Amino acid sequence: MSASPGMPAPGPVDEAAGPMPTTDPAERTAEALALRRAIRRTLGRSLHVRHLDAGSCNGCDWEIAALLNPYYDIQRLGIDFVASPRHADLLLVTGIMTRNLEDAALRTYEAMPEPRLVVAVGACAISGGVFAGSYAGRDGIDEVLPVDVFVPGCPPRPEALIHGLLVAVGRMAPFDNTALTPGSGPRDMPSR
Amino acid sequence: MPLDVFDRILRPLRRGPVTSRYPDALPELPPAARGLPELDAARCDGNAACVAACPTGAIRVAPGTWALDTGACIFCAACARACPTAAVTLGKRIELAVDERDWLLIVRSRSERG
Repeated sequence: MSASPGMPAPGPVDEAAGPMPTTDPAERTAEALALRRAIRRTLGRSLHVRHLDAGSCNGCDWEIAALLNPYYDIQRLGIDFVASPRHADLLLVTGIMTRNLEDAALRTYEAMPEPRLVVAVGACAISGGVFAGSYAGRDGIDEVLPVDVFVPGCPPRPEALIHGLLVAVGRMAPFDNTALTPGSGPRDMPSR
Repeated sequence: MPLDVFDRILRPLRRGPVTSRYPDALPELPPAARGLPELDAARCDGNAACVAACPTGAIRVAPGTWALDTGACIFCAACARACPTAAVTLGKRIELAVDERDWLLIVRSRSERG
């Protein structure tokens, strides 16, 4: 099985999303922070989520369904799921982005009003996971959609999903791996 | 028993809400929950058994470093089972969401012994 060495190559970008963002990490972080502030100003603490299955095994989707049960009860946080991308602020995408769903996923994204966020849920949506290198799809949804937050897990626990959603709207801090990685800043994967 | 019936009705009312306090409180994880694979750098001897065991190729071992791509990891614990020196364990860290793909790469330095 092929690995995911370092940053994924920039794939075709949706024209509606504008030009490719800058690759300078500091500038991108500043841009992301500004966008997050703008989103928070627009949306307040409320967030409407549209779930999109882009070829998932349904493991992640079950964890997402669990967010609505009385134990996790995501509505207590002002977050709810909506039935149409036209009502949504955030697109919660699971699965590797199969070839047959690419067009549907792009159209879903284009149907969303701005500002809009995309969250990649699970190893498949981030890197292809166990399906990486498949002929039938992409290695992660960021080859097709501009992803704002990555939620790793196979599947991620509901708490991890809540964390990811709150990171997306700036209500929680993203995972800081500098505590685990001596020296700070993102790094390239060393070759074997 | 008729009294049993009343007890069954009243029990959930007495128990109160079951809703999780997360994110105000720490997540309550079951004992079997598997979080981020963690490396005990002092025990790692660089034999790369974890690299061979990983089904998604999420782990790399290079001289002096051990790296994990959490974006590819499926938290299956194959690395922990394969490690002859028990240097890899799956911890309880689950809040792993990040806003840049690069931040999913965790690079640990380790002592070089062989």
